[in-house]
Amino acid sequence: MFDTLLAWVALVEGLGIFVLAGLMLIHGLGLSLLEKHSRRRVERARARLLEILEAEDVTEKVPEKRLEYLRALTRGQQILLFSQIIPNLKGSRRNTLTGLAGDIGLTNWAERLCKSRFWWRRLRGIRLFTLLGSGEDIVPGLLEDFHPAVRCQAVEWAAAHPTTPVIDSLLKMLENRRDPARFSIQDSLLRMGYPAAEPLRAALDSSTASNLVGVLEVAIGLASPQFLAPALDLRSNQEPAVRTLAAKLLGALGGGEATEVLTGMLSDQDPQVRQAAAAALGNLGHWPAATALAGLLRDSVWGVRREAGLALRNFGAPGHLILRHSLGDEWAPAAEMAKQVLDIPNQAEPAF
Amino acid sequence: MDAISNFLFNVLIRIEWASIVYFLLVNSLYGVLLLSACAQMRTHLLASRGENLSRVLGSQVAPHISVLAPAYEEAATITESVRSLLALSYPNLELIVVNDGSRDDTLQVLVDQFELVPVHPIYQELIPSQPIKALYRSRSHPNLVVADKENGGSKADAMNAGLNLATGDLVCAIDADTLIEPDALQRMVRPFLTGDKVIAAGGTIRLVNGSQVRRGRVLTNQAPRDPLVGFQVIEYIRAFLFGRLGWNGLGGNLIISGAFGLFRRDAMLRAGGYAHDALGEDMELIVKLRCQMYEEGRPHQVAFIPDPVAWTEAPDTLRGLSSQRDRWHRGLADVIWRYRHVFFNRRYGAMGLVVYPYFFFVELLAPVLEVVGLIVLVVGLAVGAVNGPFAALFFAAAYGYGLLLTMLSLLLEEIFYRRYQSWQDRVWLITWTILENFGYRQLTVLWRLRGLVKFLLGQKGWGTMERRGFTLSPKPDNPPPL
Repeated sequence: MFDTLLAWVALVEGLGIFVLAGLMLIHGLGLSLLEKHSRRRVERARARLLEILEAEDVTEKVPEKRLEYLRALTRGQQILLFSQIIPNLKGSRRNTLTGLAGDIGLTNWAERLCKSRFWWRRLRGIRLFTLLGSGEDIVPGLLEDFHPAVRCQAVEWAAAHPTTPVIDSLLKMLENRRDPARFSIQDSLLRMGYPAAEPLRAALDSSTASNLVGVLEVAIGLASPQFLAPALDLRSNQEPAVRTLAAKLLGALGGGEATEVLTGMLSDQDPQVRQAAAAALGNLGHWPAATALAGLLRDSVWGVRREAGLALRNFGAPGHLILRHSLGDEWAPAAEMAKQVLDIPNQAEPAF
Repeated sequence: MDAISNFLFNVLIRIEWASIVYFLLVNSLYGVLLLSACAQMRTHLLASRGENLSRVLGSQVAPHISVLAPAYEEAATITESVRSLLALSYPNLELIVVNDGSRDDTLQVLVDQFELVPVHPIYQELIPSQPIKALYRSRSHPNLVVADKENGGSKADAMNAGLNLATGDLVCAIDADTLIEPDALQRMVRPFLTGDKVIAAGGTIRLVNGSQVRRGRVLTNQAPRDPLVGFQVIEYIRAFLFGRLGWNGLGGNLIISGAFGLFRRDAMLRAGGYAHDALGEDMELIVKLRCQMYEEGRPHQVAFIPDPVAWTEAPDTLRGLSSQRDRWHRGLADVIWRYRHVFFNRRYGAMGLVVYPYFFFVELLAPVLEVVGLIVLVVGLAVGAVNGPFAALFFAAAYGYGLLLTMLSLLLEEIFYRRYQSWQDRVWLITWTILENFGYRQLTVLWRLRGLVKFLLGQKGWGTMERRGFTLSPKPDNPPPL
């Protein structure tokens, strides 16, 4: 009984090891051959496709016969081919290629994928639409998909389709601070640029909105003059995080009104806000704020003292004068910060 | 007399049965981890197929990353390493190299190669470390900063000094001799972009020995022809599939390799950075971070991401390897002992009930039980308490089962990663997989056991590793074994 068991164990293990080693070798060999074959087919199809695109009138309907090479490829090969060419094209040639994708059934396939009950197929479908630049009828509906990866990809697609309903959907999604698609939403809104500015301003105006932090983060990146009025209003928001971002936005916008408000924000209760305001004034080089910043060298928070010191350094002569005066400050941390800032070599940027 | 010998025979047989049952359980657990790794890998591949990685490159909202590279007497490899780090494709990156009081030319090599000029530091020492003597910034690469500090006697001290200087939202901890693939950070940052629960993430570490390296990049990856390195390649493949990816779905990771890990800076600062006196500072940090999160009732995740790859140099001498394994095991014992309150503690969720006991019973005690099993087997065979078929059963449970699982992980490596392209490489890997069971595995068991004994005796030396430097490796002259 024991010997039989042992023989079986040895047989199963030995056979298992042999089969696995064999599979490893066969897999490697088989895949190499397949890849070689596939590469040849894709290269041939690419040459044909480039011939079509190089034609003088690319708006003409491409004869069916010339599409045979493309149709003969597997879906994976077709996607590979399009992904190699589409990102390098713009205008009519890109439209031709998108049209060709429809002619060979790639668009229909992507649509079917987007309707699948499996998340990875929906994800693949949206990725294909993102590549082809189409899918306006089906992808917006997937912005509310339950799977985060699908939602993120739909948001990525949205960057190239800045319509009002899409932007509104994105801003609504920003209300959920824990949405895994948050980075993608902010990134897409920034990539949209000008079309997103007006809806963002409207969102900033409704200062009770729960998506204010997310909207402000995007607004700082866009820095459109339309944001000035809401940013000025937000200086008195109850949330320190909102006031901090408002200071950063004002710093990105600049101008007389902004600097005046920023100078006032130097005496905010929250250190993060004071720090942001000091940094913004330093970046704007608003030297009339030097006296107020000198007071911040005596701030109890290290980060605020650091930003105040660096801002004074940015002001040039007036700032240096104040820093030198602060060397004799009886409160040691203020004098130490002034010394550290003054010690920065002229040509060198502060390391941190 | 007969009664005593019968009693001893029975004891020997029972110990041997216990060893067999232990190995069966451990290998079955590895099997479960491997299944979990397969599921994780499948999900990862489905999610990343056709992904546009370059999106993060042009993003204004990509998190700022500070890469911390502590260097101690790394003159031979530091140039290639820093070049590889500077070649990383990431938009918002600062690289901080901390020269930890090296007695060799590490600092001078950096100054010469990267046109370093002194700058004035304005930073807050949030975590205590040995003082920084000077700070440099590169003229040719403005995002490169080099801190020259007094030797703190540990990597942890250098990392803490770097952490004080770092300004990024995320901190990437690496070894200065690590070569990171250019797109590794773009891949590694993904879980931080999609989940605010993620506090740390680790990537795959591979061995660079035998591969061709030029200007900080691994050009061709080749299976090592040196048995000692070859065995280590197999160990790494196994460890990163079982020990990292497998745990992603079964209670989370306890280790992010010190050679390549990405952390939230605020979480690290809150945890007080690295422990200066820890032998395994990378594991200690993860356990500390996770304990803190559990104690504060915050949901968190330590993720292993399979596709970012970093390359490191493996010891190619028995002495270097034995010292490394001895140190690793002492580090493990040290962390297990420090956080013993986590053991079977429901307050720490899956970490306390599953992961920690696994590390104790499987990772820490394995060498003890393997040595006991082997000694008892030899004694049993010598005195006739154990017969040949019984010994064969022991080997089938301990080694045959393990070999089967290793071969399976090799197949998964081939299917999922396909890092080794030629059939010769595959044959070499299969060869090393089989041969590691004859001598090498037993040696590592002895080294780990020595580490455990040293820990119990309170010995805390770190040991040293001689660096060869990354050079162009010649093409192999010998045909692979068939």
